[in-house]
Amino acid sequence: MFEHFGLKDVFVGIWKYKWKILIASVLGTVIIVAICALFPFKTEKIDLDVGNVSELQMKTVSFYLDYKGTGESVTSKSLSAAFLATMNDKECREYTADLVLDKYSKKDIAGFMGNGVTEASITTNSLAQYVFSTTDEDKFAIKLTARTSDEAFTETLLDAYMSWFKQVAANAGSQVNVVELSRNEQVVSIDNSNTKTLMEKQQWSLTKVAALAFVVCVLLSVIGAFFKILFAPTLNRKSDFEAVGLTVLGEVSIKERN
Amino acid sequence: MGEKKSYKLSKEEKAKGQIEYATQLIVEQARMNGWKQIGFTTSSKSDRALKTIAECVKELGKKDELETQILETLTQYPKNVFEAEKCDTVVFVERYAYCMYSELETCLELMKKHNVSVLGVITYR
Repeated sequence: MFEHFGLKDVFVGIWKYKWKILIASVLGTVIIVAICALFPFKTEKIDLDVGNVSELQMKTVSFYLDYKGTGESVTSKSLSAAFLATMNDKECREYTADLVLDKYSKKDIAGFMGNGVTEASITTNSLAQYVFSTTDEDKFAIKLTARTSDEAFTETLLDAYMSWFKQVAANAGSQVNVVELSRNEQVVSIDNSNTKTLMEKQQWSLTKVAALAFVVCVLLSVIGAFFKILFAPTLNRKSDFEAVGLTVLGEVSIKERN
Repeated sequence: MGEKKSYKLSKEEKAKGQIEYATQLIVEQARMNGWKQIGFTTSSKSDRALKTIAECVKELGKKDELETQILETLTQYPKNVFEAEKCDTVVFVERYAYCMYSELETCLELMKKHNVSVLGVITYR
């Protein structure tokens, strides 16, 4: 099998199956796109739903977790990681959303957020996108930042999260204190057009899926054709016939089809 | 103004020349060896080229009363080897990239077993 196999045989084989490769790839792409259209991927928007505002009110609170217990393995650093992990919990989102929605109705929020943000789009999950956390270089202090288009709302959101951390600390047996270090605020200008383009770029559009699916299908078809020509080799040159003991009387051009 | 002359052969002219050259070679061999019947076979299913070549040889060998016989692929119809035995020699007509080693080798083995003389192969794309 392999003694008859060379680079030319690969190209000849792929050329022979070109239409089959193309048809298989197109069919594969159509099937994948159809599946994606019928059962769309749920994608998470990384960018903020900020409507059409041109600037964001950003507030940051910096704090650390003071451990008063005796366990040697527990440090402020390890506590920071554990406390930050709770931000992804459903309980955290529900707790903070309850506090925020006690003060603001969904209608109010949709009102000052502007276009793009509706009452229906305000959920416990959507509120979480306005808050993010970082730690300082030695992972000792936590920086909690909230940014929305409304200053008071930003403050409320930040307080809700601080309240959550205090509650988590209280649940830890009063051995952890949340010690606030500083608070600061700033106004950040945003380019709405860029934000929207970025958001669009991050979405898995059907065109993107189709292009990727086509490339993958072509690759798979070529690999399939490669194995077919590897395990069922054909004679592709004059010397191949001479190798099996046949004299080549002539090489002619004849059309197989009319 | 005269017509513009083209010195380059067209595809059709080239193809015609190639077929005539190959059939001429077969007819000359037949004359030299005194063959009267030549069989044409292939290892694959395609028979269009087979018929074209056989007809050309028959046409060219009319003067010598040369007969041609088309033997359908021995891989599918091994019985045809008995027809091949009746011919003075057999010519294979094979298409590049479609002629499989396994099939051609089976045909050649069968020919060898039945002492059928094989003149050679005409290949095409």
